[in-house]
Amino acid sequence: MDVHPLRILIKALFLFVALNIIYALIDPPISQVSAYNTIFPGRVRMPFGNDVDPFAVMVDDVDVMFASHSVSHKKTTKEYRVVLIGDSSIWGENLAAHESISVLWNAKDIQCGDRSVKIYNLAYPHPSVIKDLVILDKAMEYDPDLVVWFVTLNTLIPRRLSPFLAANHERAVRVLDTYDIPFVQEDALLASETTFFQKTLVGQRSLLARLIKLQALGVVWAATSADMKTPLASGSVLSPDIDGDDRYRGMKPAPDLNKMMLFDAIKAGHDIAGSTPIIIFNEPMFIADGVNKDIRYNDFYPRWAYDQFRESLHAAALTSQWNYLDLWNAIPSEYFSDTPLHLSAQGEQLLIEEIDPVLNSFACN
Amino acid sequence: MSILQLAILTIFAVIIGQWKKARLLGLLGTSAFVLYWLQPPQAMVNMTFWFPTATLAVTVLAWSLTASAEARSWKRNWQAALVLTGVILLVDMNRYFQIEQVFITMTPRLQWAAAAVAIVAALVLLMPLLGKFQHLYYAIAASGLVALLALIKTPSALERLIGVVSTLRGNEAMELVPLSWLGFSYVSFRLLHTILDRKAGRFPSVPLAEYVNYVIFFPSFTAGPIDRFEHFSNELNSPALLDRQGWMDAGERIFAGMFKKFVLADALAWIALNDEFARQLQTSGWMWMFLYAYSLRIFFDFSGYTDIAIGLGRLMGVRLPENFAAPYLKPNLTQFWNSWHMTLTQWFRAYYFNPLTRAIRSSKLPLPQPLIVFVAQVSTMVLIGLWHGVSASFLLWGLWHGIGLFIQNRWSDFAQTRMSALAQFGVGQSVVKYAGIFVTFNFVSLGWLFFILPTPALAWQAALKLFGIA
Repeated sequence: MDVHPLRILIKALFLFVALNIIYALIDPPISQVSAYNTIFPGRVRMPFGNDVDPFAVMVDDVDVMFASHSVSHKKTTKEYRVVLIGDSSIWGENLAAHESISVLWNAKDIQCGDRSVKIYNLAYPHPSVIKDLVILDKAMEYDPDLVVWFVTLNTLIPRRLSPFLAANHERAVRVLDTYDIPFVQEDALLASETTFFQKTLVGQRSLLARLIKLQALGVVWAATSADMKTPLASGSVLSPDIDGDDRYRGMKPAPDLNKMMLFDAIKAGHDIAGSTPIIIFNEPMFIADGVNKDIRYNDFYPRWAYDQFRESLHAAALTSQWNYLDLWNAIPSEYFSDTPLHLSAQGEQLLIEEIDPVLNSFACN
Repeated sequence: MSILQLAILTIFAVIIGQWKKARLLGLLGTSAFVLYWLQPPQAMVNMTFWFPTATLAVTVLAWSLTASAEARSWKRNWQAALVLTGVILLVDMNRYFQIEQVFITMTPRLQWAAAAVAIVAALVLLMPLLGKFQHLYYAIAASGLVALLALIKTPSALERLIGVVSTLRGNEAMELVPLSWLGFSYVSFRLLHTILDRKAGRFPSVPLAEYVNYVIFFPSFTAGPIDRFEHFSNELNSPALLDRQGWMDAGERIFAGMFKKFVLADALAWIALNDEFARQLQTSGWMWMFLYAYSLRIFFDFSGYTDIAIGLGRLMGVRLPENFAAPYLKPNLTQFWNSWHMTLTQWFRAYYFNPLTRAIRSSKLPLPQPLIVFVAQVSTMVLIGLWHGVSASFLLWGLWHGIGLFIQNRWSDFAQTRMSALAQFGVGQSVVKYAGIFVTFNFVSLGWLFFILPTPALAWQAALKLFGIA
């Protein structure tokens, strides 16, 4: 039959528009569909990386991230489930998956009576207590028995709106509103609300492409047990000498930095966790002992800001009766890698040794 | 090439296809512009402009060498010269227009671009002075092109050369940066075809617009097919009617190509073997799977581009030759090479394999037939390997296929009589056929290791892993 090409073109266009509208109206829960934990083993940490890394893809959508994680695997009655929340130092930037904290910790095969302690690394690079709250809120769907939450000064100081919060704005706004947490970027968060166009196939093309790539990378994960390009060689690259600038993120020394710290978010975390205990750790950091050591602890933190943070967190923990342990100087400087907060694999091992007794006291009592 | 760029090229092709008057000039201007537009930005910013300009300069000089006095006349070529000059100067003036979506904005000063045009024009005008030495100049031009191709295929040599030039110009010693001259591999083969055929008296003398259109035809200058001039010229001058079926054919080829390239190849790229995966993979089974993914990916990527080129050409009434014919379903290596990048192998057959075989056979030194086959096949495949890049890995890839072709050639002779009894039965025929396809596909896939991995040592380690030895 002789068909006019223009008719085919018009039909194709009509079908394309109709499919987009139907897709937007149905709004299928695609982010919960995953080949992980069924066809492929679940990942041991959240998918993260840049586009040139052949092992990684950035998804940011918290539902997609969790669906690919081993925490989505069904919990058995014999399991004591511990979730770790934190930033890149806990995620294990520059460390291979098998060197990351939860894998090293699980290798110890901790048993408490007839229950086996399983640790899940739910940390995600980018220091933000609001991001941590969004992850904690989602993590509670997976019935944890204990939450281990790592914070540092950068976590508690509000930052610009991250792609993670923009991608999970509905959950973030709900958490902020429910617990009345002051967040300077809330307007920007509200502005990122999904429009009808963004719900169409065209509007969702980036998420869909990343979702499909993440599933395809399940093959790579199953075959290599690697979720990032060969990491940097271990060994400290940080100089003991640091810059003499006493500002913290552009701020001159001031006695009221603690007013900016979002302790309310940690309180909200306890509310979200309900009866599930939370232990808060102040992350260990590199402490420089060379030039300008009296002005700054490291490239991230001047002494005045960090000391204020430690005092304030300690006071807040006492007042609110949080389970809190300050590990700021627990790891010697040679066990840090490329930033003052990133640990080498040996550093992670030392950190586990520090925390293990605390975790045991919760899990086995 | 992105989907957006492809959409724009499709619009260009449709307009040119419908253009009755000044069609050649429209195509010429578009192809010249696309040379610049698709050229990837270089770390040495000026080279982003100079590489396409050099492609045009070399093409125009090759034309003036091959054209007769009549074909070179100003009257026949002033419009084409004006179009080319206009494109070069307009692109260069992007330093004033600042349209960074189209081309870099840090182009050389206008006087430099104008000087380059003037130098090429002067050389074209001087060409008639070659007189009786013209044949010598054909040989020099062909050798020069091969040398230039070898230079750009040896990245370290090209980078060092540019470093030396930079130092001579008084600039500080520069860090070596990778350079990429888009499309020159294909352009040089088209130019060599015209020069060698002209030398042999087989190439017609044609005006500038027709010649340059052949060399830099925008659908095919980056990844082939490598058409022959006579065929292209016929298609260009008597374009196939774009009736309903023509539109359908063109659309089908472009969409099939897009599907192969942007869906299949790009998705397979996520799990196709690369040096990082080769290091991390530990088991033989996964290694094979990732290697097969690469084999399919390179096929879909390359044949997808060919489909797109053929579809775009069809929109302009130009039927480009096929470049792939289900190569992975061929039962032996000879048939594989007759259906994989066919226009490249045909080029090598015409300009290297056949002349070499003839020369050996007619030489006074009597060589046994198998040795002639060995020398011709291995050297041809080594040259095809080095055409992809002058490195030990590509040399080994060429040897792998050359020796493979020779062994297959000998095996065919040996098996022809002995296997004929088996092949008489339907089942036996199928067994021989499918076994051949299996062996050929795996042989080709193993060869890709030299393509994928940066060093022969890594390729060897990967091969050991594939067979569970390492």
